[in-house]
Amino acid sequence: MTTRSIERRTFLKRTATAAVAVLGAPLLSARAAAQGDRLVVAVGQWGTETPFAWRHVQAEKPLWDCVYDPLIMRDPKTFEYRPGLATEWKPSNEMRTWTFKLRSGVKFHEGFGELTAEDVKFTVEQSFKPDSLGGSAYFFRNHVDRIETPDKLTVVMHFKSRQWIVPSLFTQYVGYQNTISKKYFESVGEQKAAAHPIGTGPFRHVEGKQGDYHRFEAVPGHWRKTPAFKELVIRRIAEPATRLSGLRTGEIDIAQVFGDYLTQAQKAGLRIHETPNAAQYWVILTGQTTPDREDYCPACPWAGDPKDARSLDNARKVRLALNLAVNKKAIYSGLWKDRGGDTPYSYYYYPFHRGHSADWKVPPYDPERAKKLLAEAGHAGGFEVRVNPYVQLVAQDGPDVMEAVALDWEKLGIKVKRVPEATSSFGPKGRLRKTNKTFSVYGSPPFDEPVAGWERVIHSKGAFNLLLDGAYDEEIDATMREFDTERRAKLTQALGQKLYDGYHGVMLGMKSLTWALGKKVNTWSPLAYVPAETNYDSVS
Amino acid sequence: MTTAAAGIETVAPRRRDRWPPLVPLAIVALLVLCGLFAPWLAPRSPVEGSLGERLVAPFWMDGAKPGHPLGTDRHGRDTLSRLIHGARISIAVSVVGITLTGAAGVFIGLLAGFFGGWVDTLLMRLVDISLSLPGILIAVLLSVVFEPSFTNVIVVVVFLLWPSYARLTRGETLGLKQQDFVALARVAGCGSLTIMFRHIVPNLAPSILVLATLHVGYVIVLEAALSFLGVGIPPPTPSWGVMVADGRGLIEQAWWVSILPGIAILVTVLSLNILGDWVRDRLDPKLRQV
Amino acid sequence: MQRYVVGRLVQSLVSMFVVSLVVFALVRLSGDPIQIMAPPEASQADIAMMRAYLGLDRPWAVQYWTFISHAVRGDFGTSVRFRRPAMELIAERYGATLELGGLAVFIVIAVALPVGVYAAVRRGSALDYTARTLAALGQAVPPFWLGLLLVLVFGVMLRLLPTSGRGTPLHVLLPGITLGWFAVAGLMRLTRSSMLDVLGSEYVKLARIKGLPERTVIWKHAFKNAALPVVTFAALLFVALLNGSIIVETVFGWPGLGLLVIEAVDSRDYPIVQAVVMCLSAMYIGVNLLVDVLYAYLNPKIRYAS
Repeated sequence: MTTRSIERRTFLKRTATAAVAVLGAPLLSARAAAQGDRLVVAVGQWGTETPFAWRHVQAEKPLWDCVYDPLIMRDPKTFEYRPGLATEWKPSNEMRTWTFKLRSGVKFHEGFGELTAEDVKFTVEQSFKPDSLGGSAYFFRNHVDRIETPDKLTVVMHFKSRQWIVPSLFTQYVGYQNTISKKYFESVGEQKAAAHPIGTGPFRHVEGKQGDYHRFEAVPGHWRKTPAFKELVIRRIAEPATRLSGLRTGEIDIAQVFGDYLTQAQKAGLRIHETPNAAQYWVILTGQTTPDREDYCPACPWAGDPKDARSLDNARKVRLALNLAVNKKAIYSGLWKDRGGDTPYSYYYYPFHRGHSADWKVPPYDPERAKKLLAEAGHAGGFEVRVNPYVQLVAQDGPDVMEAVALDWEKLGIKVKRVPEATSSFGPKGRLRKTNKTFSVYGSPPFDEPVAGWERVIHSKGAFNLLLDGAYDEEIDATMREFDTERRAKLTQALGQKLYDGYHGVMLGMKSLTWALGKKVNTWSPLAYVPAETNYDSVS
Repeated sequence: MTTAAAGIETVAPRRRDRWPPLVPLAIVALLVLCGLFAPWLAPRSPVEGSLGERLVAPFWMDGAKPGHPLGTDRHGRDTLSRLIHGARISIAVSVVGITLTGAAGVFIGLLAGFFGGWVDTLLMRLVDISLSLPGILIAVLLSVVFEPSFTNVIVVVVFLLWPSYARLTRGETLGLKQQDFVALARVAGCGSLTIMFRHIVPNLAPSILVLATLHVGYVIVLEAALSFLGVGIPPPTPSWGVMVADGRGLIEQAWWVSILPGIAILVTVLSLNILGDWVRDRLDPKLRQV
Repeated sequence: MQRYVVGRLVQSLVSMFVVSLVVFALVRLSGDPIQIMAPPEASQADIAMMRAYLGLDRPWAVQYWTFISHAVRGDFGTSVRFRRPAMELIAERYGATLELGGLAVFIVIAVALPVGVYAAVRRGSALDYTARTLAALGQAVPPFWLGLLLVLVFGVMLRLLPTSGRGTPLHVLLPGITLGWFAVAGLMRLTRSSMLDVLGSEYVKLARIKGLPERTVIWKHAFKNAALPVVTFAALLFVALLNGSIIVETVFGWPGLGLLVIEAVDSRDYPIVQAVVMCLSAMYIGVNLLVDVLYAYLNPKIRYAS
């Protein structure tokens, strides 16, 4: 405690500088490498705080990614694959086998030797354990046949069936497979390794307190680049107002801001770092699912009865009306502070994906037409809907956006009942399709290909229902089975068009995510499309 | 704790002490008025708004707009209207909450004090258990099990406050049941229930009333705390607590969103406490311990 | 006296038992932690497997028995979220909450007692009215709002104090004040009214007639008699503050029990919620027991009652 208090004091008096470039990004700043110092990042929450690939999900990435290197990195501008720990990755045997070649001479922290194929194999095999619930654990558990390590730097993974999605699971930002040291894990045991993880990344973990903060030190001579800041502290502060206060006093150097906090940060003279087009926003119109689910609602005006073509048509009109009723420009300026707009998109179909069409425009604001459509569909008197204005992982301004949408709908004569419920209870209900037909605002992260996302969230067998269930199962399956990249892209585009035409969600727009930077931070290369930036090694 | 019967102020209350303090009384009267006639008093709807009119400043500042004398909140809803309707909610929560609490607490305290013995022990241990459970935590758990709602808030209020009434009633009952009028009633053939409700309760009324008046302010602040944690009255209903919680990130940028309802809470609770003190002083100086 | 103490002890144990039942039921009613932790890719089969692994699929009665039989030995199970023993996490965090609560109690007593005493002594004076107004103000301001305001003024505008977290003694100042603020008012009023009663008593009159210096009259005689309800209040206050710390810790990011348990509720981390509630309840019931025994010892009427 004493050491920390002294360091906090001296930290408050110093100023930080120095620059590092992440792979593919420019900039070694002119004011490079002055007193490399402490960088303090504040995040709102970090999930279960476990550092292991087979246990964690999106939420833990902002905390632990700095300690690891991904096998496959990404170009910060184009999002394409770049070599990471793996220098090449090749399929064979009709994509039943994937061979990864590893970079040589990469060292684990604290002298635990060099990275070898054994470590990668060990990491992936942890997913086989029955209590591994991490992001990709399910996939490995169900699809891996065996893994071989013919030599120190080659990993060969054999799968039970053809899989094109394998590399994606090892990529930066999207994948979860951070390689750990087998030697370390086996020598100290899981609990200790979880409290003090070892990786090959540009920062190494020094100490920390669960739920409070973690301190990292830059690894000198790292194969990527040595980070500009000698020390990195990641703190957890749940209250956004408190984070902002910390930014203004200089106690915190980087924190995510949104909405009014963004305005306040700017007024306070803080610079803003923006990840453009990181999230797609839409309102999930729950009720569009399969008959075996509790949320199934053929009587709901926006869902319709699958057996009755007219009902389906009317439902589509209602959904379009719900889209047209929302004044999106007001949301862009009032809530998003113009950091985002009506970039055309289809659900999970980002502009960088192949086959993206500029025709997929966000429906305009046309309340008159909306009223007419409602009347045509036989609902001139309106109807009742339930909404949950909660803070979603990516859509942190969910409550405000949902309220704005609700107010717009109420002008159409729709009765909106607000039923606030936190992620912790609402999320599981969503998975079980038992939300009692409650809508919510959703912000999406990108996947390597739209269909990888669709398989999880628009498929009746998928874990989630984030748009609808069931209507496009066959098309999704067919696309997933298509191993030819060109043909798959065509199928994906066709399905993307269908999803767009169906107005299954209320499209709001694409939003950038913003961070406020303290005075000590000079540059931080922005990454396209990444809602949870973790490249603190590139801050300077 | 000894009660010194003699030696307390023997000065007769002065003329003007017969009247309650006027300013607090006026404020509370205004509050009640707002509560009863909110839909007619409020210039606009408290729940409708548009993003184009977000965070408009009150009339004496730059950027004010006509039609919003006290400005607007994050969704463009009129602050004045929300304050007026909020009075209604705050009163509703306090009145309903405290009435139910009082009823439950007094009843239990009566039973405990009157019958004594194992009944007393059982009920007082119940009080202990209730007090030992962390109230806010229970509130959060409850709102997870059931959806946040007005009812939930009332349940939390009752849960947190009933022990005070129970204890007070029990204490007073213990004393009262020794008195002559109770003995007389028994001789006259009154049953226990009759004695309890027709004879003892009326004598309890002053202390209960004082306690209740003092609690109203507490309940209003409690409701604000629950709203802060997200387990209070669900949107878009305006309660002062919700308004304060809503504007908490905007204190510098748009202070009126949070500060005005905060002032409303402050002034109301202050007035209620002053009135409560006056009531207590008037009814029986001995009750100053309450 | 012996019988009384033993009786109260037994009652306390029964109370704890009831508390354990209540918290067990409430926590289980609130939902399933696995559903929350499981990632997008987990199938229902995976989730079922995980539940079985953690013993969450057994009937409630069995789960309760496991819980209570371990709890009496101090073992509250393993946190679902942190994957460490719940007691270990509590041991880590309770120091922070004690620090916060301790400072708050200190502030409350240091401010409320003298002000309450002197407000009673100089009844009707400017000091009295100021004190009562401040007390009323104290009870009228929502703590979280006050906290944010303090952070804004002292942290951001004046740059005197840190805005969040724990580290130096300066860090605990704002949270401590926020936490104690509400209670200062209550204690001040109680002190004042206790003192007012005692000051009017024969006993004090006698002391004055004897010509004792005013200071002695106030503190050695009047206050000592007024102290008992005040001491009771203070003891229970400490426990009450532990509850209030939930909000304060959330606002200030103070890494104590309050924050731990609120997030445990959010993630349905049963062992932690159960452990924290049981510990807090045990403390409260324990303090109550002590106070009752103390009272009984001091008051002959109870000592010899059946």
